[in-house]
Amino acid sequence: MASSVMKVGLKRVLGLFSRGGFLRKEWFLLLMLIVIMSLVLYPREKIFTIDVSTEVVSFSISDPKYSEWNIGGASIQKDFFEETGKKDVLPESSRLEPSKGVDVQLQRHGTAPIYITLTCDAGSVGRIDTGDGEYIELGEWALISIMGDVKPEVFSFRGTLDIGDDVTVGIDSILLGGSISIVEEKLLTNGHYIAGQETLNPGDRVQLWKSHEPASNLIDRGSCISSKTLNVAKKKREKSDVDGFIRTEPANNYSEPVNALNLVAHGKADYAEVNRFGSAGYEIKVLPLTRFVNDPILGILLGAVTALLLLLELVSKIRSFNDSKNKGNDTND
Amino acid sequence: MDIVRGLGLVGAFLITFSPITYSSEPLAVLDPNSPVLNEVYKDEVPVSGKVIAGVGMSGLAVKGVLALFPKVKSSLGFACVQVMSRDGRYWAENTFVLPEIDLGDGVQVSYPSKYNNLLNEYSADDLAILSYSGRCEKKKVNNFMVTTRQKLVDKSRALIVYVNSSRADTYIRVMNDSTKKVAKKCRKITEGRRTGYDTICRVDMPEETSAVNPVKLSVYRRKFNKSLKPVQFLVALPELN
Repeated sequence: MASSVMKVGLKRVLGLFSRGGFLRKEWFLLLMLIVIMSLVLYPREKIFTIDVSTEVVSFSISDPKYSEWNIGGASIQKDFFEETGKKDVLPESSRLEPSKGVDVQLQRHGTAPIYITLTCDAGSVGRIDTGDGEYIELGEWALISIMGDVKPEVFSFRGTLDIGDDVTVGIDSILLGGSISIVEEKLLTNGHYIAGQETLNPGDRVQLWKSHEPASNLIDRGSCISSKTLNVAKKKREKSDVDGFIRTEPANNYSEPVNALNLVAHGKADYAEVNRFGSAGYEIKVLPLTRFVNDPILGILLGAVTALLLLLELVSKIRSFNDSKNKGNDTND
Repeated sequence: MDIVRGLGLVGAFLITFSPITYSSEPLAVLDPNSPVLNEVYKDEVPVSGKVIAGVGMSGLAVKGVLALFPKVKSSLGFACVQVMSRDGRYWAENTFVLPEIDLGDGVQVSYPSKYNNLLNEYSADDLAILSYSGRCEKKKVNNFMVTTRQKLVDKSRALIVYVNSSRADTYIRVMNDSTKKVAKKCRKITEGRRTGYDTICRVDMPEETSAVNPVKLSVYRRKFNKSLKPVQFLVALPELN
């Protein structure tokens, strides 16, 4: 009884795909193609991970609370026109509180001192909490010099990032090397997979970009006004915000200290733009079609649909063979 | 109807992509001794490393694509015009013969470039023009004339100096005008390639005529803990009354 019900059920399902049936094979194929291509082309979150060694890195701070640094013992110059030799040494418990939108540039050659410049087009780059209840207010420019010869330092930040400098006359600080990995989320799950990885050459300059969104999160009532942030709404693309940190190792206490600045940063972006000396440069991005190779769930789904299509093709052939056989019998009769 | 539409499209194409020249306006033409424009457009062009990449002025009414404002009434004088793109892909240096003009008049430059379409696409910040009196063979120059191009017409009146700062923080100061003596911070370009120049300085010039002419400018650069030697130069402003 049960087997006859199953047979009838199967016959009805297969009947849907018969020549006169509701779902013809061609329509099913088209439907599956649309479903799969929709899954492939549907935008997914892409996280770019940058791991580089560089002599220079710049970023514009979007979250000041995330970007406060201990700078005790560092020396500071608050006036651009101040003599270069004249420096004020900060108390040991000093902490830098940068303003939102301030442009920060770090530079270090080998295990030499670390230089940090803070600039903005108008207003204040922030202030320094000396730890004893006093604040040092800063103007539109400041230079902090950290000897960095005794202990390692870590500077965390959240903001838009420029790594390295495009090589031209007068450049003395460049990206030394590293890589960019692109992590993409898996279909229908919270899992992720590595969708691509690129090696960066010495002298490259890297920026992360995303399609334009209103830049209201960058423009603040805060004290540092940047023409960059004000103009960003007019542009077709916008730099991606990343979370990152820079680690430096001192010359002493390490048998082989890692030179320059070691940067690790993560952020959602659509592509990374690489300017390379002697070429037009290129963009690092993940093409949706590579998801067939990289996304295991999409691969399984594609395999299942292919198997189903093969089964339907087989059923169709058997059916047409039976039909021609029955027609032959009828003719003989 | 289709023919009329087709002719209209052809006309629009020609208007959009041809170098605009007006026969009634004074026109600077290429030096007959070197009648072919000396220009390069490549992925990467070696740049000179000169600190001042260009001097322009926004907010001036010009009819041509490119115009110069020679400092004196000239008759068969020469002007060297250097054009450089910010990304370092385009570079040109040519001597032009100036027509006879009155003081303050702009001179359109007949610029027969192979790359006019590309040059027209460069935004106001992305193309620097540097011009001075005399032929381009001159070795030492610190006296520039104002240049302008169509992309600068709609902006407020200001002197614009394009600087190859070597990625230094940069300030500009007018040395001989007490009303503008406060040093002004220049804007660093952060997006894209900066092989040609990387900083733009603006000195607002809202008035029709300047109290001092030429203005003496000083560009200060500081690279972290090292101050670079200031660059001083003169710019002859156009008298616009």
